[in-house]
Amino acid sequence: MSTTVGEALVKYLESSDVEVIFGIPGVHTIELYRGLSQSGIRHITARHEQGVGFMADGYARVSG
Amino acid sequence: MTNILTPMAQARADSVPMLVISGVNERSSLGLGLGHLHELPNQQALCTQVAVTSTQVSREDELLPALNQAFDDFSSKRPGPVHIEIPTDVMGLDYELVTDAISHKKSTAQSVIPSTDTAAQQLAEGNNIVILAGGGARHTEAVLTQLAEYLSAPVVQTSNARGLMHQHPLCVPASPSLKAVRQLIADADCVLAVGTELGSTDYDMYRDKAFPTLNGLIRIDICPQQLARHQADICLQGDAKLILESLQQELQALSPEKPKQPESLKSERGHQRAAQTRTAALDELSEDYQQHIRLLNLIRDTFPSSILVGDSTQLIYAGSMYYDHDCAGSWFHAATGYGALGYSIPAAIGAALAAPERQVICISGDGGAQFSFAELMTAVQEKLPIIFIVWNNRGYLEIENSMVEVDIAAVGCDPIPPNFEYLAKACSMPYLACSADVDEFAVTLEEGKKMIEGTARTQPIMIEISV
Ligand SMILES: Cc1ncc(C[n+]2csc(CCOP(=O)(O)OP(=O)(O)O)c2C)c(N)n1
Ligand SMILES: [Mg+2]
Repeated sequence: MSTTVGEALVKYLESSDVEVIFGIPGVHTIELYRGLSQSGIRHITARHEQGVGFMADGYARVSG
Repeated sequence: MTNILTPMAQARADSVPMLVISGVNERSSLGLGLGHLHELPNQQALCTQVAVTSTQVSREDELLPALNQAFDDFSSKRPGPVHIEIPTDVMGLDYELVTDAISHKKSTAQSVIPSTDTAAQQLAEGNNIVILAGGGARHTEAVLTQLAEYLSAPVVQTSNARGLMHQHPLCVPASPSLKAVRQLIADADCVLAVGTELGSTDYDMYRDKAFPTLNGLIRIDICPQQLARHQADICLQGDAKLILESLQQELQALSPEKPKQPESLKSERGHQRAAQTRTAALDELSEDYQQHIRLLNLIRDTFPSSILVGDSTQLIYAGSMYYDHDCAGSWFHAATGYGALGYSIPAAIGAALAAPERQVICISGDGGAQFSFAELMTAVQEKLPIIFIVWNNRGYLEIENSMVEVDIAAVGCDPIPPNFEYLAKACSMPYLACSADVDEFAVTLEEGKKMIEGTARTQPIMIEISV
């Protein structure tokens, strides 16, 4: 079964031990979400994209 | 895309690794200004200004190299925000990822380090050494401590380095913007700067440009561009931990001539220099700031090894002047660096997701909280046991004070805060209130601790401090 660029992205992140991602889906990104629900990655839905970025910042500082 | 530029700028300023993946309109429409959804004249050019790198995946086979490059850079270079954009018409194209082709090297690239013998020689000859530690030193605690002890060198810490060497006699957890700290640095005949950009929000907070010349400066930094920005006697480019270890070995090899004075006497003098600086630094601060620092100490002692995330608010400003956190990498905020208000609530959420077993405490002002309190619902939804402390002085007080100080009648500093009790209620979040009195705050914190434990760490709470 063939996959898309969006699914390949998710597979890449999963294979690179990414456990958590932050986002707000929109029509511009829905194809990036294909494959996400079957992956082991936890998606955190922020309430504003600024929140997305600051959450990733806090996450990176503590995990890295 | 524009909504995330601010966090990217903040991450860039503080060298935080962040992969930002965005969409962009279909390839054939780019740059034409046809009024498409989310259209920008040139999204990628905009991102290039803020991201460390920005790459467009304009064909399906460009995805893999772009991702490999991003992950490689995270482990081998000064970290920062990396942007990858994928046009909407590329996202759905067929593409099979071969996992064996994932080739990022995961932190092996940094093992090459420069020779440290000249630097070691210079340190061995120093009689009055000071170490300046920045965020780039935060993973070096063991060797940093050894080296500081060996050299009897006080360790001055920027905000992002705090938590290193907690309560060590050589630790100076005070801002190099303070006169006492600057005096210590000015008196040094050799300064070793580790992973610090020597930026003004730490080193010259009051912009008085009175920061002393750094004698015999040896700099360690992973970023060559950063090293080129300041005059230094010796620059050592590479991983801070490895370079410090190498320096320590070189010094030990040189040790027959050293110490010139009896060891105990020398270490006592280092301790004395650090202790005097700590006392004088605290004395320089206003009674208000000293009171704020007592509140921070109380938080730390009530919740040992916790993660404190702050906004640009009075408590945090005071802490950036003087505060000795008890573990490295666990005190970060928006009062130094890029300084975007609204940072703390979402950043605390990220921290809590990364360390579910640790207590995360978020400190925002009433003004900063209003930038991002929508994210409180994210904490509720994800069941994160964060303690959200709101320092409510009903306005942009630190800014108002700055206006008054330079004879500007305060305008625009009085945004009416919401009723935080109702706000907590609207978010189904337990709420506690107290004054800024240390004893009262202590009781409230204990109560908060019980609440967090009582809900098996599945619920955030809010504590409002009315000032
Ligand atoms: C995005 C952004 N806008 C504006 C500022 C300027 N600014 C810095 S602190 C501050 C006031 C913050 O008020 P509050 O959170 O209530 O803290 P307080 O000083 O009252 O303790 C403002 C407006 C900023 N740092 N970032
Ligand atoms: Mg305020």
